[in-house]
Amino acid sequence: MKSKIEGRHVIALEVEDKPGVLTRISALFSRRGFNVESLTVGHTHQPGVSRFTIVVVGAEAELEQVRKQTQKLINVLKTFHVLDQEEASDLELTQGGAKNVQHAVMRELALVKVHYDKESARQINHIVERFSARMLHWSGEDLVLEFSGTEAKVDAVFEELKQVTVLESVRTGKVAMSIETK
Amino acid sequence: MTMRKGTQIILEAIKAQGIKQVFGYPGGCVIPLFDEFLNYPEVQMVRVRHEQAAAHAADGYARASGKCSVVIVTSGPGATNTITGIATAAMDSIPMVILTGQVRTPIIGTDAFQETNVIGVTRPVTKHNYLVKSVHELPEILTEAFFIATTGRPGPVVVDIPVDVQTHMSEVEFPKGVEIPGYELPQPIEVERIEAAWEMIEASCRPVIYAGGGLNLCLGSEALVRFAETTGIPITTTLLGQGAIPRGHKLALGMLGMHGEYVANYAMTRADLVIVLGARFDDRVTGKVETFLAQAKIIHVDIDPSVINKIKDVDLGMVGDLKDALAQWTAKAKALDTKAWLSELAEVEAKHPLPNYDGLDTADGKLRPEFVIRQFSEITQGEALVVSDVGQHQMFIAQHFAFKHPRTHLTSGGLGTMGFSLPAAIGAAFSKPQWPVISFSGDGGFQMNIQELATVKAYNLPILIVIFNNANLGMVKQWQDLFWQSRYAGTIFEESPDFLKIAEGYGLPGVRIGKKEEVAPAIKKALEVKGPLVLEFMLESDTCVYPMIPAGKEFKDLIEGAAT
Repeated sequence: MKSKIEGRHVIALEVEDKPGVLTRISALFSRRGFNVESLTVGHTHQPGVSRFTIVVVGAEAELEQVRKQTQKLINVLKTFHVLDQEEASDLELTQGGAKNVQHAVMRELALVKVHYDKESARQINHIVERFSARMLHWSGEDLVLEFSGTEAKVDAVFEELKQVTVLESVRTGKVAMSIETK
Repeated sequence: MTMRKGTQIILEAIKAQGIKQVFGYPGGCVIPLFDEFLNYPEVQMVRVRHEQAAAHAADGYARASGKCSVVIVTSGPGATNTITGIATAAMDSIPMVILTGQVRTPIIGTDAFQETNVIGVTRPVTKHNYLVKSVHELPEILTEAFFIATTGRPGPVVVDIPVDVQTHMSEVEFPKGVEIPGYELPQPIEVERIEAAWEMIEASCRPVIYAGGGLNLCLGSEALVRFAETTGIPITTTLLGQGAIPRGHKLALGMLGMHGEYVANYAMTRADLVIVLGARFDDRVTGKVETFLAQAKIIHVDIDPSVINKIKDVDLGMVGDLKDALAQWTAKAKALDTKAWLSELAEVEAKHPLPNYDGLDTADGKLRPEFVIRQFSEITQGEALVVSDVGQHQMFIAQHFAFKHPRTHLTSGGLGTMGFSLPAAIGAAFSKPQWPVISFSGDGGFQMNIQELATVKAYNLPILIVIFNNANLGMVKQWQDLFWQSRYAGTIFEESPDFLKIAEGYGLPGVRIGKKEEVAPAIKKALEVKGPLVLEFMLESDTCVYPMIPAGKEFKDLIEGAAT
């Protein structure tokens, strides 16, 4: 019996790079009332193939249903239900599901524009060092920083940033890559 | 290399499918396409009187023949009028290709006259859809559209074709094969799964087959009956599975579900193994999901992986062709000891037959619909294409008409579309000209596509158009009677038109029947008539369809209705 309890799930899709494919996919998630927390899409090494990583909150049983329906879309090549290694549960699927559930490593990227002056310099330098940020742009007053890492790490970055003046920020949402586990 | 116009490419694609008739309605953005039909006399353009009817007619054509059908309508309102018809086909997995005209490519997205985002509005009700942006894409897109509509779990595919694409020229040939990387067709079912299933079947004491519309879609009826006869497993069917096993067959339990037969629903509660074939656990079948098949192990075979474990977790799911599964099982099968089980069911059936009020006079001296339907069933001996609309008469037909052949009950099962019957009967009459076609509608649904009387007349189609006139919307009224203290909000027709005068206005003969003794002679006479005829039956206004398991309830809540 699959869980009816709501949780966070990550679905990765490989799709044909065709117009309307994003709408087709997001429509299936919204029809079932799933709230999409993040959605990233970009090209892969294969020409004409794009990859989606979608983070949603919902019940696992329902999510498996949406995954199957997504797989039915003509422009969708592959679907995977991926699990953070630490989130990996004793997922049991009756039919053809097992091969679609994979362990994965996940990363997220964030860009943050902070106000940089004498007062905040020490604090910002500390954050940059602690989280191995890259400095992308410096205008004389504002500094654009790049962070990447697990979601937990980026969460921690944003927690620390509360102490300085953030002018703008953006997170990509998770991207996932499946891994072999022993 | 030959240069062809867009419209020629379209006609060649239709011809290649072996399609003899398409159903359509003209408009500004399909003038070139309609014009092309004048150059292709081998494909008939059946011009109906409303775009919704074009979609239902194509649907009826496909349901009766098993072949893909084609709809052609113009942009904007022409396309949006087909939505109900497309959704009807999508819910029941009917193969259909809908070609919609679109405004010229340079003005798409500018709110041009009669422009609608057809791809956007049809996306949720189609299996797939395409906007053709250049004439050079047409050969490949049309080939894919027909392939997608007819393979796997069938369904409607929309191809939106701008009017300039229709007139542009291209040298591009049709592709030799179809290659759609994201479109997976089911593989043959693995032998291990077949064996595991057979072990479960062999170990069961009270097995039942629950057969759905998939069996009619894949023409799996023969394979089903052979397997059932070899093993001695009884069969209950869904509304869309009717005809998969002849009604009088000793292993046929009739329809299950909300208005299914007592014995069929009883069997589902007593079964220790249920084999679900080409069905999808519709809520009208399951009632309360938690208690449905609570005692049984479940084997589910379907061509669509997404219906397995959708409503109910099953013990063994198999994705693939039903005929394949049935043939593999039959090869292994031997007679099971189901004698005690079958006699238990026979006893229950004898104790709980369908309610029969033939011996009683109705309060207002009018006809009972079940009686009329049984007369049709007896007189035709099931040798007819029965097209029903939606509501009480649809359920009465499902219960009381003894369907003998697959694909002979054409009805909107999933969407429950009123107004389906008459246009669908038009399509059926074109695809099966040798069969008698009987279109049943209530007086409500009949008025939803009443304009199609003109199409029936124009093509002189030999359809018996049966109107069950009870001056109300019977099924909704029944719910009001049972669950809403008989407060008839919106369900009574205080004024009804004179249907025979309407028929006359359309140039069709009509007969009104109000007495029991007139029924059989009128039906016999009607079946002899070569040509369309309207038969209006004046029915009692206070009928209820029984048995009934109220929505979301279970077998123990079944309302039997008084039997005589």
